[in-house]
Amino acid sequence: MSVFGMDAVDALYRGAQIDDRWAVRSDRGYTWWTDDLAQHVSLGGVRATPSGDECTLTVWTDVVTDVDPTTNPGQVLALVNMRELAMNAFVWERESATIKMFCSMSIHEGNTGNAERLIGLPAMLQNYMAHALADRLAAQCGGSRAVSSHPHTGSHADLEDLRAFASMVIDAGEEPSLFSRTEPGELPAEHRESWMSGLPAFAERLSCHGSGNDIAFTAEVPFASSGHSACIEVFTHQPQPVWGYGAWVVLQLPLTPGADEAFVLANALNAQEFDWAPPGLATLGAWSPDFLDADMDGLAFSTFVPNKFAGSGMLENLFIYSALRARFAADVLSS
Amino acid sequence: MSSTVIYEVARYSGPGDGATLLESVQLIAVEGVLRVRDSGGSETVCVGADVGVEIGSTPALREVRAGQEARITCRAGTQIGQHGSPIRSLFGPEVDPLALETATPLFGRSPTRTWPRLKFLW
Repeated sequence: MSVFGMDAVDALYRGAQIDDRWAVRSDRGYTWWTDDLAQHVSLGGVRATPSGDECTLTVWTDVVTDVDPTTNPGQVLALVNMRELAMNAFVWERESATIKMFCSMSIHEGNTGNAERLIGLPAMLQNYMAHALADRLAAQCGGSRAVSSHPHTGSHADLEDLRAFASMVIDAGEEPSLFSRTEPGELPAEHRESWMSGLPAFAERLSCHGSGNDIAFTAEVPFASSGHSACIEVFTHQPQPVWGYGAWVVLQLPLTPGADEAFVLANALNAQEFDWAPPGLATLGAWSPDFLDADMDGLAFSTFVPNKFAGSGMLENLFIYSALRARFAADVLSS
Repeated sequence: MSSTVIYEVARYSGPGDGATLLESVQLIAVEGVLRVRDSGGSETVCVGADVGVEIGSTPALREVRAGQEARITCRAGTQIGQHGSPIRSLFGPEVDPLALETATPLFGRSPTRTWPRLKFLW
């Protein structure tokens, strides 16, 4: 069994201050309980790349079981995915009649030291939101809260740390987006440009047509052989209903399947990414109907990064993920 | 053997001309085969002939790291695929006029990769 990536797993374990009494370790991850829902952390298979080894780290929480498919779970989850989540996705698995919440990220030699921040923070939000929304989703989808407990030490109930963390993220979201902030430079009248303002030049270097400023950016990336382009929108002036200000990164596909079909396709794409995604593609958001379109008859993948998680390089990486994802979606949907 | 630089990411300590070059990684084509060349000049042969797949699946080519400036040079649409199949770009449209005459659309089914099918679309 390879040990590659286990440093990242251990960092996540320590970062979440997990008590050994409420966790079960495995060769490539662990499961733990803060309350009555289990959160799982698991490393995928190691693959060799020209710049070293890489594997995918997936974090998911069991939320609902015994889902009734006649309640239109895909639509219920899409509405939550687009309005309430940050850097995670709810997915309904028809075969197992379950709802899970998940996020994932590539772990490689260049980022193992930062894994705790890169996926640890989304994982904490996931744990909090899963506990907060489980009863509501169970009721809406005709299922049951996915209650479980540690096999030896039994049930656990200590959500205080998660609540405190969520409050911290919400508080940080009250100030305008940190992605749009300019700061004084070392010299008089000199200013450090905002992270948003660097995106147009970045897109240009990648031969993408893009334009933008401190609060909004748009660019086109290839989608399919038809010559149609997908659109990447990044904006910071609209707060997220739960988490406040930060940055939205939305990939819009040039498809209009209609609203009903978009709900079905969105869940299918989320299920696909939970099941398998191409190497390097991080899932830090969710597919849903295109909520930037009034009719919501298109498909979009949206990521909301709260202010609390803001950092340099993040928007550029999310841009690259979006380009990768457009291509992945084109291939999957044309299969 | 002549090589063509398809894509390069150079990582600097920050913005501006005074920044220090920390790392430079290139995706090059040598006689129709893609290779990744690192800062030390070592080359690793890529498995496939698809630019998008190679950039996406090679962390050193795709990642922008916090606190550094990544300066990217991309020469998309170059026609060097194995068995005459085109290399697809992950990003923009063709920018090389020489490639426009022969390049097929950048997207379409990957010549080197088969994605798994969606669970309940079929």
